[in-house]
Amino acid sequence: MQLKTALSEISGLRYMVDRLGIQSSLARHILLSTPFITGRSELQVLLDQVAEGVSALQNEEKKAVLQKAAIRLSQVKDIRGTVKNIQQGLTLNDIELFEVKSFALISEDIRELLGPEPFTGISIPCLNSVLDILDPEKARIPTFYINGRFDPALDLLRRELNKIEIRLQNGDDAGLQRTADGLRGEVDAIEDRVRQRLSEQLMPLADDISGAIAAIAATDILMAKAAQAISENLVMPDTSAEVTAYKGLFHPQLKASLEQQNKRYQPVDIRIENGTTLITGANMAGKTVLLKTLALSQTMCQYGFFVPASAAGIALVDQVMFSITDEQSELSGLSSYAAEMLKVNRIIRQARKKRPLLILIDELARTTNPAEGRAIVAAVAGFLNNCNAKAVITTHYGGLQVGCRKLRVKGFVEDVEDKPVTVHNIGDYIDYSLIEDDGSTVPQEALRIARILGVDEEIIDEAAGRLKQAGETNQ
Amino acid sequence: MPFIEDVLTCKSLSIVGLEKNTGKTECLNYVLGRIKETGKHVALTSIGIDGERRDLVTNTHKPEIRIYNGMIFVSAEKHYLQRRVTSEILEVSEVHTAMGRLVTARALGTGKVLLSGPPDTHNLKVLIAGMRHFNTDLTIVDGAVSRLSLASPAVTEGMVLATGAAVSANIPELVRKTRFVVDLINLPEVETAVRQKLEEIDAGIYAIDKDGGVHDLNIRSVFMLENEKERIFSKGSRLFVAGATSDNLFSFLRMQKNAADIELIVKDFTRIFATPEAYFSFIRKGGKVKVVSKTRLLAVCINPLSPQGYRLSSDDLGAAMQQELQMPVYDVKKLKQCN
Repeated sequence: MQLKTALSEISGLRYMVDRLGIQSSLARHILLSTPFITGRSELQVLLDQVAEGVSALQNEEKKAVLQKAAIRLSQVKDIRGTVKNIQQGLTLNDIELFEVKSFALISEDIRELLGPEPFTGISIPCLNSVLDILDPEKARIPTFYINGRFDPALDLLRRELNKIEIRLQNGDDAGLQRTADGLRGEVDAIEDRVRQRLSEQLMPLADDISGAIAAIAATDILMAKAAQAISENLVMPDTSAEVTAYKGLFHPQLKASLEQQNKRYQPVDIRIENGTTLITGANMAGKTVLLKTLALSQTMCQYGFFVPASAAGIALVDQVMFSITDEQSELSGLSSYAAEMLKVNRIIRQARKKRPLLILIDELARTTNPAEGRAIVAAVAGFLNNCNAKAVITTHYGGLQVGCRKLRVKGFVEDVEDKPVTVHNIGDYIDYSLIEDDGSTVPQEALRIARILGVDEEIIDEAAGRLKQAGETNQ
Repeated sequence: MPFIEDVLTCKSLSIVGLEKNTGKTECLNYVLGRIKETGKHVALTSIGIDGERRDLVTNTHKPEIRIYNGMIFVSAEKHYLQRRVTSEILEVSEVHTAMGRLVTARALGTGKVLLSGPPDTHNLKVLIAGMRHFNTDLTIVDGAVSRLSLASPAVTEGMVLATGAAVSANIPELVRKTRFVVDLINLPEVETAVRQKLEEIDAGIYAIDKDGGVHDLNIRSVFMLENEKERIFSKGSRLFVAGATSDNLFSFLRMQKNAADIELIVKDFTRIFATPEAYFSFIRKGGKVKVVSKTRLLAVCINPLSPQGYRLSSDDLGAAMQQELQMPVYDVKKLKQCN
């Protein structure tokens, strides 16, 4: 899957990509077509480059060089179409020749700025031979036309032509016009020959130009990733990990939005081993956000970004698969239960192949009756526990007889009884951290939260009464 | 050298034709030929597609645009490649038009070019501002008063209007039609504080309150006005319409109780597509019209020859026009012959 597809699927990913300070639209295009990388060594190369970028940006001298390079990077145009024309042996027109020349000038400038052994780790192919072809007088000025250096006959013909054109200014003269047209034809023929020759000369250099385009874009991308890693407090993930474990994992977009409202954001620590991890917790305890953050972080890592945590070990997976509540299923014409089950089935089918996957399922089977819902959760959790996948399932169902790991969000801080909790400050009284749990009971705080939200008192009292009655009957 | 001195006081100039075949290109070639002699650095572009070798509609002869050594010109890729002049490319922009990206080049001799330019007003403004990188003194825009063009020539400092027998073969009628457009070009500008707020708004209808506050009325089009009567004037009698204004709008405004107090603000004169009848019926009721960007009309050029071959008397037309407009009127063909 390419990054551009992931943007609309992974919550918070577009926020990160939109805020990357990429200089050229070429680099943006290339970034968006980055594949999801599953090979560890290939990914490590990218992450190491970002790490180099981060340390370069923290060094005043190198930072100044990078800032200069950024100006040149912003002038880069996407000339991949033109390079394809060169490779196919087509004759370039003046505009294309101009593009190749100005790209080569910029590329050479950046190459010189970064030095023979660029600390980015990305070496840019030398395009001096391209410039020797397109700029024989070595003026190194970013303008282009077929001048007399390409064919000495041009200067004389053009001078002749210009003299006639000047005479033509003062009135039409059919004879003169014919001479002018003849001369123009000769000039055009010579220019065409020159263009053809230049295009042929460029053909063997096409791979170098392509290489330079890729290297320039990669430099642009890595600088943007590094700058973002610093500004958003991202960390280099350890991709050799068997178990995915985060310290201080956070969701950058949500964090920024809470900070804007002067609200607290609590990062969490979590370990995800192979098999199923069941997570319980009260409503509003951040279970859905946790799953979204896990998806975001895994995805960012495998597209070569640093990740939003203070420390991270990430076991690489083939694919991140998820079923998270706020997706729209109305449009498909299916009930929310049917849409969810079909999605879960797709996940099961992939898991059955024993592929390494990260599976995230939010409140599985929540929209059906609790008796059957509980049974479905137990069955899915049990099945996924024995695949090669890391599955995280959140649920409100307690007492599930499944032999998998169970975590619970701590939830309400106990000593808040006397404090005025409202819908606006409720977040301050929730501890979002995760603890190991046996899963025998689940937090029952739905009524308390409903009360805080200001739901009709009569209803809440009635529900509380019924709950009490049911409890007494059971005993 | 009539009106060239005025032209040289501007940083940007548009030359617009009231209709096709009103001699706009001749007028442009005249101006370019004259400016060449002053040694000023000129950049040249167009809005819409122009400079075609044959007029596509009437198939009459149209002079191409002649440029001179050192002049900068901007044209879309397709037209650039058809140029008949030696020129060096300075820049290829990322602005796309139907004819490809815009190419900026410098002429290295005398020759002829086909001009095309930015697809909208915003990009036209950016282009004019960007020309200072090439040390130009004046940017000339080959423009059109046309509904087909999204870019408005009114963003230039100065303007020359070409009119002629192609508009009407009847002198009083031609004068009357030209007078209407000249009146629109000369519409007063709104006060600076309000102008700055309205400059970047490209769509919608807004109420302007007493203190110059701008309120979006959330009315998508002037066709919806009828249903929103009571809201429109809730903030006072000033109204800004960012898009085109038609007969319907002017008739609607004229019929309001407060017609005499209404002040309609439009982006610039090219956004008024009403007939003189509808426009003046509003004005006669006491209504006022102002513009956000105003250009200075430097001269009116006349072309006495119609594309059908009918020729008016240049002297009679010029005299009638000058009498009515009270401003300089020139027949470019005659000016050329005098030289």
